[in-house]
Amino acid sequence: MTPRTLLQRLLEPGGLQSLFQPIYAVGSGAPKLQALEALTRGPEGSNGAKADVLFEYVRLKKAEAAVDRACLAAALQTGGHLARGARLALNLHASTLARDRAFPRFLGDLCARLAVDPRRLTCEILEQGPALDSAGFQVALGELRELGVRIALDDLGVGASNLRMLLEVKPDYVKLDRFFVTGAAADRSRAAVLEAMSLLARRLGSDVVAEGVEGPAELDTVTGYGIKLVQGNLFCPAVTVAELCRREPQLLTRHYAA
Amino acid sequence: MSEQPRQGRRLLVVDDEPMILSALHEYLTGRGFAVDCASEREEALALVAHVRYAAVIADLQLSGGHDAGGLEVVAAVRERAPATRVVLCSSLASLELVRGARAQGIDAVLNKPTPLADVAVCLENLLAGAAA
Repeated sequence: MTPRTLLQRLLEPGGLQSLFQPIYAVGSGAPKLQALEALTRGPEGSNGAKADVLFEYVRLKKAEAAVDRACLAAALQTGGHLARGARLALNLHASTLARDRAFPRFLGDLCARLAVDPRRLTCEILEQGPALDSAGFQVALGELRELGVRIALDDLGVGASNLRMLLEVKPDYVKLDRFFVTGAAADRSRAAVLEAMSLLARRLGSDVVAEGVEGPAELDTVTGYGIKLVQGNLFCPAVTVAELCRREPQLLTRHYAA
Repeated sequence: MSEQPRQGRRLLVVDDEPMILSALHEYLTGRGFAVDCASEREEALALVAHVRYAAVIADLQLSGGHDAGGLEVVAAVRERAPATRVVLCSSLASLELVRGARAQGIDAVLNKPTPLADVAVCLENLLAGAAA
């Protein structure tokens, strides 16, 4: 018998595990939970257990669309019934939107089946491949917006998530990658890029999220540039739903208490 | 009882034969290496992109012997991590292959099947040379 490949294992029921990392609004007063980003891991003990290796492998297998679908399904099955106070942010390759014409319908059907309101969702678009030149991508973005899904541009300034994508996607949120955030407090060049990108995103009408906020100095830096949404281990790492509900008990619903 | 892996002894073994992977993993772990395994070209390339290895042992032919995917893995290692030692294994190890492999910067070529102890000696010698 031929052994199962990693891809086959990922796509089996239960092959993907969803963790969640909170995104908080900061300003005066205590940080306020705004959203939960679903972060996917492959089977424990496999090479897919590390996210960077997992998605590098998926892209090399050209299996982004199939795995994106599976990741979204796992995330909504796991976290779709958390209390409505926080949005759910789901990662999605731009290439999936460009090539999988049925994706928006898949997401709409999935939400209907799981009784999840799609207006709670944010799709975080990321792209590591060559820049897209696809009418299908724009059509799919429009269809997601018709469902009520908000759009975030992930990892701005890294890979192919560039200024062209910023203009084409017109995102509700721009996520500034940890590459620019972590260490920015002690690095004037990094801080300058961070400041300019956050200003540009806001000028284009997007809310800005700083990823990779790992310490108080970084928090001071990003808030000093007017960034009000933050994500990072200073607040909470990526955790299971059970741990999330322990840290943020207001998220717990009867669905999880059972 | 296995030794604890020592620093600088992280290995990647790439082979599409599960029994070979399993045997090398068990044996080399017992010799104090930390061993990652990959059975596909893409899995190996993804690991090489994100993990630094002291050495990579790759079978020449992956995908059930239908391609020379091991060479692509080797090329990726050479590009990303020039200090990583590379061993190519093949049941078709001709003089021509050995010459070609050397030209690609491969440090050693082993004929399959190779006794596990010989694989370990080859690795120890390469890593001792790298540390010298």
